[in-house]
Amino acid sequence: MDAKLRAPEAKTHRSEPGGVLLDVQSLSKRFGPTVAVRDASFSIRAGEVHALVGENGSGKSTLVKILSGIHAPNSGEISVDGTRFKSFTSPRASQAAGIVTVFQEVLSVGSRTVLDNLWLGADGSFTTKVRKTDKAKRAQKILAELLEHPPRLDSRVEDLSLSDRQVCSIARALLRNPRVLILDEATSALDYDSRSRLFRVVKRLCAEGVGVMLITHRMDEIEEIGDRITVLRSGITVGTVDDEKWTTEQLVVMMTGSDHLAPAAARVETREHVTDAPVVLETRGLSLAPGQAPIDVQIRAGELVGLAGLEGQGQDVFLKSLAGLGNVSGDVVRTEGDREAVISNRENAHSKRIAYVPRERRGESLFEWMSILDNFSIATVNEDVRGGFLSPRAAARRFSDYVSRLSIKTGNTTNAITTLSGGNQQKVIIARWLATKPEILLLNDPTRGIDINAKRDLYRLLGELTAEGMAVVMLSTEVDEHVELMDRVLVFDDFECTHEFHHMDLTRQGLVASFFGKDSRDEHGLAQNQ
Amino acid sequence: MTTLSAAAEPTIDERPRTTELLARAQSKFPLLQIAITVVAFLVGAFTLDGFASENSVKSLLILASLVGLAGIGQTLAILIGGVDMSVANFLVVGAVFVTQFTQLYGMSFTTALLLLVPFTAILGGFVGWVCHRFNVEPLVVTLAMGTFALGLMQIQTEGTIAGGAPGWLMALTSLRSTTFGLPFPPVIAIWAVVTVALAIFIHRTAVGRRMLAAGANGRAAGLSLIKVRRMWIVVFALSALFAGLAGVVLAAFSGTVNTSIGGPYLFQSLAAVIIGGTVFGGPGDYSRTVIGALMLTVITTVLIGHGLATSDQQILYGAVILIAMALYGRGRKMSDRV
Repeated sequence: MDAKLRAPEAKTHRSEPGGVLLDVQSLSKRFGPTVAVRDASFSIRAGEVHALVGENGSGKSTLVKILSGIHAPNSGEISVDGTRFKSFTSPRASQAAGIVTVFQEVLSVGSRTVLDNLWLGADGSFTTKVRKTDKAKRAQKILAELLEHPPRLDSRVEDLSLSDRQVCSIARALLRNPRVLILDEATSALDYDSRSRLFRVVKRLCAEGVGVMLITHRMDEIEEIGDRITVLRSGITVGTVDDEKWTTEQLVVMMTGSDHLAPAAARVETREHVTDAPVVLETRGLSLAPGQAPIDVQIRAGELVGLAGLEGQGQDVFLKSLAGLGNVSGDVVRTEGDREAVISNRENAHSKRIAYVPRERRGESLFEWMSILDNFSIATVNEDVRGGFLSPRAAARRFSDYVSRLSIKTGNTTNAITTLSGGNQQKVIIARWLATKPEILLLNDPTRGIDINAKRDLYRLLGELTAEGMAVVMLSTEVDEHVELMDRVLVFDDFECTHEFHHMDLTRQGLVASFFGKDSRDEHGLAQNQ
Repeated sequence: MTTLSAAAEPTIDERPRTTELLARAQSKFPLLQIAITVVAFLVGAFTLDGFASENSVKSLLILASLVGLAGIGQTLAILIGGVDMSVANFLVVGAVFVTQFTQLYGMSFTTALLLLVPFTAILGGFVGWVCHRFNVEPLVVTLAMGTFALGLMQIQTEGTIAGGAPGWLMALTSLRSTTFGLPFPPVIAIWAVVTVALAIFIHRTAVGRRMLAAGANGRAAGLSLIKVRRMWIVVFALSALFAGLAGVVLAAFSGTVNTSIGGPYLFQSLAAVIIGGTVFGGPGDYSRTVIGALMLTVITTVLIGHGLATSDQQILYGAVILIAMALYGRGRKMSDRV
């Protein structure tokens, strides 16, 4: 407790710049049958900003959680400033060693004041470790450094904007006087100005000898303040890149182990464009939020349409409204031959052959203790009824088609679904919806957190399905998926559909630039380096 | 099957050991509970005179069947992720309907039974609706509904609930009765039939599968086109209905009816479900509750034979639930981290 509340001066001369502050050796962590981190080794020097990059599901967040004392590793060693640890027994132990983490999720107690939130966890249950006047003074100082217009210390956190709430979490971390500061996608909730200010603070901390670990999926941030980059792939640190000697392409190769994501990169080119296929689904005057411009989009049979944009710009709402789950104004119209029907709810969409694979696998799709087979058959369970009773053999027969088609690696299908890896779980869920024989398949970020091989299987499947005439609409947070897979990409910004790219016009740079809108690109130069 | 699942993940070098195999078997079937029941029975047979006699075994089964029948609704409620604290009061409702109303209003037993069914189902269904519609704890809502239902009974009978079951009804649970000429009372046969029927319902019908899914993950169930609210209404309606019908059997067993005859069965049925190994929101099934009821009954009977008092029994039930919940809590935490 004392160590982390010491004044900043106390530690600046303790570690010389360039010396190793945090050293991680061959960490591994598994959860049941799933290996989240296989072999992670890297070190953070005093005074550097060390970026950790990797695809979704490569083990970044597990690694951060190990360093923050949330998970205990199965093997490996962590040393902070020469002190060795097998693991941190609690977040408190990790903080006592000088490691402070700011997480992506904004963690604050909304009903308490800014001051309370900034010093959350600093005091004991019945004792005060820092004097009240001192608290206010230091809180004020750090907030003034992080925000142009800092909130009053007595205002309640729930009244602040999301960005300012995240700034409070960051300020809380900084008040702990970290030796190693971990920013785990902590910048994604920040607005542009707060981010620039944060980076200035990070540079100051580095000058004082603090080591900073930056986890981000944004290359421009790494370019801006990163010193070295460690790449994590499938739980293994595949290498650390020094200095300025890296390119985005090089990192992508390191992250994915190949130049291209899709197995046949030229998939789309080899296929006829589907411009004359019939329209199967369209939106008419669909407004995703009050006052936002309506969206009119037509989706044709056999088309693979990507939904892109920064997190939370309306693409999720758009996809859900296609599934009949939206609460939006305007119409989603399903066309079958010359019959038209307005989609009003999920059951209705289902009866019109629209399937929806939700985003959160655990929260919205999995029945965790139920078997692989039951998880597959649940949405179509009536098809397995023989003479009034369920026939497991009927379900198994139906499932076996999908096992080979999606290359699902299952053991005994009566085992719980949780015995499968994330990628195979996702394949089972997709099989669940393919079994409803949809003509339109809506996928909400289906490759999130699954390994690269499962992704490739999925890409191949999407190619096959669209070739058979199924229309697929897929929300993805990975730029490469859009660039390499999609026939067409719709870009969302502030609950409006701002850009539309056809496959021919898709480039990584152009797509990323469009996320920020033309104006922000000129103003902030956010994407010019991509 | 276990080796296959290990082989499916080639990167993990881990062969299932005997303890793991047992643990997996235990997760599919309540081996441990059966073993404890057998051991407790053997202890009783060797230490207590006449414990293994035919009559003694029959009365053990009758006692267990009462707990088991009272635990039907509780099992369903727990499988869908709720709990039913109104079991005891609906037992009394059932008992009052067939003993009091028949005398009070001069209706036949069949009429009383036919009235009992919609009465309990409507009250229970309302509970399910309230719980799901307003997202409130079934614990509180069922307690309230139980009190409400019991109050209704007391108004009807002007506060003096006391009555007897007709003689033919009492034969249902009498040691000397036979079932179609077979030498055991009908209640045991009823219990066996119900057990088989519920196993089929839970595992081999589309509705049962949907109920399990609704308990396992309500949100995912809704997105998988299951009408989750309807499921809650049906489950709590069935829970109240089965408690009411168990009350009829209890009236037959007790002979006399008063407001407190249901009391012990709330906790015993809950304990039977929990030590059987059914977890809130599943996995589990009714056969586990049957084994739980047998285990509890055998253990308490042996202990009573050795001079255990009622207060000690209560300590036992409480401790059993506490220990079982602590064990499940650990298991769940492990699975949460995956």
